[in-house]
Amino acid sequence: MFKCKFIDFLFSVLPIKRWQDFLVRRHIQNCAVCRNKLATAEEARQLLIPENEIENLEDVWSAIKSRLDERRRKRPQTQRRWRWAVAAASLIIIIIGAVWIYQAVGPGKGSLELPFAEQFQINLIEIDNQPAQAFVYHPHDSKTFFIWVEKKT
Amino acid sequence: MNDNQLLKECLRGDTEKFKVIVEKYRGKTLALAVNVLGNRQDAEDACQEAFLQVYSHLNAFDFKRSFSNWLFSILYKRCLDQLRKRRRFFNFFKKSKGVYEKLAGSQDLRFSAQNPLPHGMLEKLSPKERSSLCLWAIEGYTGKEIAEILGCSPSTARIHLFKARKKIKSLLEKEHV
Repeated sequence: MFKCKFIDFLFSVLPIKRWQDFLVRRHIQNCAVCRNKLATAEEARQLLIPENEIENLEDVWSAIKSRLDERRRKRPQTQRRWRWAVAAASLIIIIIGAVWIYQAVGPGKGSLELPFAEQFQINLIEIDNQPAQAFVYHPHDSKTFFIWVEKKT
Repeated sequence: MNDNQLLKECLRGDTEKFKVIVEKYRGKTLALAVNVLGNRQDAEDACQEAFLQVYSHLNAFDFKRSFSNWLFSILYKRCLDQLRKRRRFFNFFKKSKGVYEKLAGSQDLRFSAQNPLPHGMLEKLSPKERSSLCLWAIEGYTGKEIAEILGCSPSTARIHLFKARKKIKSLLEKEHV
């Protein structure tokens, strides 16, 4: 009896399920006094509503069937709505993409225009009305050009 | 035809086979839901939701598992949904009743709200305790099977059952005294 009370105390003092389960399995299930404090399956069944006392079970399937049919009817509508949404989203993406490409590569701008350095050229340099020899220096990563001109000997 | 064969037929699109499954389990599921919720209308809603969920997620079912355990675990979650809905409704009802009473003065407003739980001993148990008690006493499930349905460890399920049995016993003894 004292042991049962002590187990009860241990059960309530540490509300950890594993610990409580250990106590139940170790003592309470094997102790006749503690087992008497638990309702039997028969006693529990008296309070619960069993399957055979449930009436009008026919309604369950008819309600489920009508809801399944309703879902089936709704599904094509939702699919159609999704199709429209996907088409509209794709169209918007295509338009945005086209505008972006046009802005990047369009006339007067963009990478199709040659860089400044590649356009630079010297056709003719003269010193005292005589063609001269020209040397062009272009430092790396700079827009500055150094031109050295010498008379041709 | 066993459950798995019926389910495979359902997956091929045979709705009539699903009817067989519903008819086989409707009593058990409704009994569990009524015992957990204490209300036939809510229990029917929970059962319908559970069967619809089963039908729409049949392809996710693991055929190595027991179908009834899977169905009961879904039903248990739908019952908890119903209890949450009911709690929200009662919170709203309490607030609106307070406001309405203030507006209407001291008049006795006879709000006939549905009782959240059935009168009796079962209302003293938590939903987990009621579910485990019901599964143990009616279906004869073990702690491990109850744990699978409640989504907890077997030791936790055993403790829920233990507490439910203890509470019920003490209530029964008080009633006899």
